Amino acid sequence: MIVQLIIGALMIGSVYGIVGLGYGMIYKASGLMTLAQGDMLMIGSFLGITFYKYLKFPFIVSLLLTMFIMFCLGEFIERAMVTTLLKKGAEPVYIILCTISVSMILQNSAMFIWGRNYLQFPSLFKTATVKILGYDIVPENLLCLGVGILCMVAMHFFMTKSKFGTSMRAAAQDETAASALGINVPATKGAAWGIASMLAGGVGVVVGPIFGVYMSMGAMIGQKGFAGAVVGGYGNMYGAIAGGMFFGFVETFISAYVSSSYKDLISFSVLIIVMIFMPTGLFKEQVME
Amino acid sequence: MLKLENLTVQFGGLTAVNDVTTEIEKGAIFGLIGPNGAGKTTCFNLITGVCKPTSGKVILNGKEIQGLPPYKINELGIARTYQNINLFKKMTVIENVMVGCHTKTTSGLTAAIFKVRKQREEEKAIIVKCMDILKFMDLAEKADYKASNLSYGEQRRLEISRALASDPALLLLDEPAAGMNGREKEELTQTIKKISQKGITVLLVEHDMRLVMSVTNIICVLNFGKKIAFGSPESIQNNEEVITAYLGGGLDV
Amino acid sequence: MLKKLRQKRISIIVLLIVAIICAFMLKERYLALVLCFICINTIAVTGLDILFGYTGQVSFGHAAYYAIGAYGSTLLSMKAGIPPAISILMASLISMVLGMIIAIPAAKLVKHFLSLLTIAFGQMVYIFISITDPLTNGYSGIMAIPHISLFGYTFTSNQSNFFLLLAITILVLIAKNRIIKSRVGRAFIAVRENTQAANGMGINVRYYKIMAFAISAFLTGLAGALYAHLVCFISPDSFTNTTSNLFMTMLLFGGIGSLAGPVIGSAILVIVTELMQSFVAYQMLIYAIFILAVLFYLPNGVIGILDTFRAKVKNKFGKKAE
Repeated sequence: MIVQLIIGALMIGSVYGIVGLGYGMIYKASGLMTLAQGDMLMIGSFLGITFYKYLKFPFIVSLLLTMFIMFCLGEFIERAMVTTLLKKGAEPVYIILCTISVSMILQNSAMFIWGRNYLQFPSLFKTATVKILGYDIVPENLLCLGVGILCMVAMHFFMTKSKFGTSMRAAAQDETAASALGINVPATKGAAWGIASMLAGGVGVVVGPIFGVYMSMGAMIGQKGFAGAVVGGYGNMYGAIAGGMFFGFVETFISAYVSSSYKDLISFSVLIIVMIFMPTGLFKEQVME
Repeated sequence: MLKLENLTVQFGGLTAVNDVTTEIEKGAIFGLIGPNGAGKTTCFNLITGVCKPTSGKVILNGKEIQGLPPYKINELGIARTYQNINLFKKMTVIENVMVGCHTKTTSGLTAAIFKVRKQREEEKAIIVKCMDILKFMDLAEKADYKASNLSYGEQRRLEISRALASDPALLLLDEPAAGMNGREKEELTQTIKKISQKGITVLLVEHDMRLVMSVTNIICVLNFGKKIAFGSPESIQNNEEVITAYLGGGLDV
Repeated sequence: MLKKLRQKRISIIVLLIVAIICAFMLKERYLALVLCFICINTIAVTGLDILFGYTGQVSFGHAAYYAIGAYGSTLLSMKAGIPPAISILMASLISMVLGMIIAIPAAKLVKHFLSLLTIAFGQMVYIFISITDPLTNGYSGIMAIPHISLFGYTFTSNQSNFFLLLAITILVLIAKNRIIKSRVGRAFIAVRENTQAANGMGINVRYYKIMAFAISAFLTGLAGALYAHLVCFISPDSFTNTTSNLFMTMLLFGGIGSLAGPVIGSAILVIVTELMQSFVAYQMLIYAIFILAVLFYLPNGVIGILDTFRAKVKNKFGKKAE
């Protein structure tokens, strides 16, 4: 039982982590906050199920295609909306409001396109459970966890070893200097938003088989991902993952041993307490004026 | 009136102000000069509570004020203007000055909601006082203009007006002549003299040497955070160390 | 002072319009209810304006105070037997205290984090009222909430409630006007415009930020309590983050930092919501469109447009532009 709980916690923790990573990436790259990551996950989930269940594409194709589309969506929002607003001199608060309205539009659009119902993925695997080391584990959980870990590792290498990733980090630290070095700063910003959406959407595709796909699935996950990013140190990629894992574990074990209806309340209380007493998070990021 | 005693402040590895001791006497027009990065604005920030010293004291009329929050220091009678103009852009000219009256007035929330007589009288008095200050600073016709619509020179005058509204005993001017043309600088010199005649002690940080020499009656020179000279404008002008500091040394003057 | 005379004239015209509406009200029940909602939302959004419009502190979770006011007053009047007129006041004060508690950390946080803190607070209150069944009846909500009674008269009909709410709204607006035109109001605006200069001018920024939170929470809590005793049924559904977003939308659409802004914003959005009753599914989309319209085209809201229009007219007639 404990092993299933741990796998479950790791799984949901990695989901929160990936979503939170996206929040942090956007913050570091453009200094802005978004509240739409959860809905990106939701749209990814819907796209995934459309490709896999209705268009009968192979799973891996559905996953990659969804991620590509989500990347484009993220870039689009950054170019068409965020940059335009910034050019008009909008303050960051209004960008947050913009992402809130994007979130509302995504949710409503999902409802129009796919309806209010709860959609089910067809089974991805031949068996309902898999035996690993003597324990019965649901393979979809492992898939989700696996994809999550893969994304995190890929992100790590991309940001530290690849040329564009390093450019992104440079631009995030000092735009003027990066620009002077010939780095295309607007492109790095667009890429940050694109990558964040892509990751959230991708994780949505692998989360769908576990929880089902429905319009409001993004809301809570988005907020927990955000919470994880804050607890870990907002803006810090590794912090977001650690924070996400933290909430994954807190939630899973409270659900199992205390009560599942209180898990959200406790998660939010923890978040508020962290924001009050340790807003810089675990990895000590700058948050106060 | 104001004493800086062994004032030191370190930011990480950088010592911005290094063991500075000086005294500003009441009624003086005191100049604080030095090349860029000498620590002048940091001194201002230390005096006005924007930052805390690592060691040393700031003593106002016998009372230690270092480390106090800025609003308390304003209550004690020190007001300042800023290098980058820090006006309340969306307010009108007179409203900006009215904010300056904050410390010397007392109407709070309940007084405002119930519009008690004391509050109404106070408001009237504030308006009268602020118009007087605007007249003094030659901005009275533009009282209802939005602060952002003023010219640069007028905005600087407005900042000074706002500072005057708090009835300071000591007025700190941080590079008030920056960006001004010759005529505006001449007017500024006259304004500073007028303010001094009212009995307000003035502490001036400025780069324009002509202005400093013509308006101040005592000068302290900083370089790399350390005090390197102190005295009348004439003595400073002829001080070798000061000249070297500004010109970078290695030159026969 | 010409400005004062013009303001007096405007107030008289507004009062005349209100009087005509009141006369009308004696017949129309549904319209009266809509007007009641406009009043209640005006009070709630005025609260948000004090916080965001005047001290620049964002709150994306303001429905929390709305909920505290509503549930607070409901529970006090139903479980403790306190007459609604008093329970409303008590609930508003409770909301105010909670606002001040949140303000203490909030006053220190950078804007982004303030957004998150306020959202988290909003969510927490929503989750709390949804799951504490023994206290709040959870998702089913609480029914049969008593109406307000004053001096023996009970406000049961929509029309009578409208007169009461209108009176309260007018009082709130007068109080707001007095606050913003006073020393406190100037301090608020100074805090919003330039915190550093405000500090330098003797304004204790933290104190005024907390005061703004207190007033804001009080007003929105008051609105929530009045709502509960008007419709006599509350459930967590009315206190979601959509409600918080709606308050923000009303404020921005009407125009922040003004007296009439919250009124106009509430009026337009309440009417739009009512007209959309048959399209409830599109509700979020419509709100989102309003928000985007404001962000992209009407940054100063309707009031901003009126101001720009007035300035243009003044220019045309050769008067000095301000």
